[in-house]
Amino acid sequence: MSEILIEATLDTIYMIVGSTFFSVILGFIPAIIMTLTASDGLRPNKVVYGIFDFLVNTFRSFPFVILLVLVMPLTRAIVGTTIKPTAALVPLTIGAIPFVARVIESAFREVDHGLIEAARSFGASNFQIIYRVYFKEALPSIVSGIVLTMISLIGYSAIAGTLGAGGLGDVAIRFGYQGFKTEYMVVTSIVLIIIVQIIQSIGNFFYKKLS
Amino acid sequence: MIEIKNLSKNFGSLNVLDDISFEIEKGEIYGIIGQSGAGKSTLLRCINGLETFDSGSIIVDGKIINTLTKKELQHVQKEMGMVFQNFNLLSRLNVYDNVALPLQFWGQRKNSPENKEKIMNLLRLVGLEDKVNSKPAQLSGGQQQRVAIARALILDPKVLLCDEATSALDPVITKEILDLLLKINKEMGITIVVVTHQMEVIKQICTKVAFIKNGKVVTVGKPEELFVAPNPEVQAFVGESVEILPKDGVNVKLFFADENSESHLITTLARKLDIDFDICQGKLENFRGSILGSLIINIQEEDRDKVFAFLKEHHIIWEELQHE
Repeated sequence: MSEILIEATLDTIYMIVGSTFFSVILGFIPAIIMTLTASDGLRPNKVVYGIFDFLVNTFRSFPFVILLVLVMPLTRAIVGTTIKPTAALVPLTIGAIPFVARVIESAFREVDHGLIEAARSFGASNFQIIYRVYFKEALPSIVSGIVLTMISLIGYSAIAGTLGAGGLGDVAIRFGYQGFKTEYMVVTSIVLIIIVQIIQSIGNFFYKKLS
Repeated sequence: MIEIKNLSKNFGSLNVLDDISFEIEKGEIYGIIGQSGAGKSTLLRCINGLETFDSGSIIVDGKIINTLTKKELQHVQKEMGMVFQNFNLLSRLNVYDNVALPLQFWGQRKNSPENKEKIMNLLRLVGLEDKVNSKPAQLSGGQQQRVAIARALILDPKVLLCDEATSALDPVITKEILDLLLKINKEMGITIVVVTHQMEVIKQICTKVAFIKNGKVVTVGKPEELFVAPNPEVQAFVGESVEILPKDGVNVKLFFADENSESHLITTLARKLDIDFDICQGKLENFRGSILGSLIINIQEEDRDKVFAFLKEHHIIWEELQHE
């Protein structure tokens, strides 16, 4: 039992960390575009903002299990297979991008408009304002947003696990539910709770340190 | 230095700025005063290109602001430091890094020896050299504004724009910040434009002032002219119309260039004309260190011509106050 659990735990951590990494990188792009093009942004543009806003909302409202099935052709094209943890990175990342985008956008939105004005008054370019003001000031909020993302990805990875990704969700369903071994169910749940607690604690530590 | 010509700006049908024209000379401390919503902050933001306007022109140091490309405008903005009511410091940067930020916008390294020296010199000027590593949240409002002033000076501007820079501060701290601005104006020769609704600011530091109401310039002049013999709109703003004065007789307001001439003149008036009158109210005001006084006396109706002739003879500025 311990061997199966250790392997599953490592798979779950791999899926969470990997998809968080990619979704944060890719989620920054729509977040920055939406911040720039918002009505009170540096380059207001209703159409562009509207499109991104719509896309983010649409992808966020997709039930993850359906998204998982929908992106399977893409997963196969990128990874070559639709099973194993690495394959799960594709739907997990795609599912998390709009979440991350919204989280970063609202972190940016919280930055005092006066700071942006001050930066403009010193002749800063838009890029410098994003990088030296928005990003700098919003970093603690971005960190807590990423923690939130990671924790929802734990739930998503368990769903992905039932569709061939492996990890703790897979163990819980296969051994615990279908195999009637309650102890597997209990232990995987405890491991998941511990992972959530650890991620949240690390997140809180960095939030305090940064702000 | 700054020339504003027929400037107008609308938000829909609302005239935020309405045909504004005035000129700010190099080395002046120019005050723009008016109530909240009068358009004065918008006007200031037009000067450094943070806001656009619909018609007219602004010329800063020979450059026409409204015809510049974005790059050219950024260079003009570099020449104009700005200080804000809410300080607008980055909360996550310490004092040093906040002051260094504009340098970084212009591609300079904040830790190069010359920049380090420059930043430390400015922090010394504003009296915060011992707070280099503090975060804004650890500083008082007055100290935060000092950091903001140092930041506004880091790019060696020719002009300092202050948008209600002392409005969030208490009177004692306001005085300290104003003294600092005076010092910057004198020692560094920087032209300063202050937007404010506080009369104290105008009286303490400004060499010239424009009074703005509903987006229009009501009057322009030296502060002493504006406040000692105010026109009705300025008077309403200043709130001096609430004076409680005798209902009969004639109330006359006299203006004096200094406190000594005042007492002297009053005794002479009584002695020479051999009349009785009441002193209702006296006030001394300090304009950039020079004292100006005003005194309201109540005379008998029959003494009116005598007194007015006497005042004229002694070259005293006066006005007869109408009964309400």
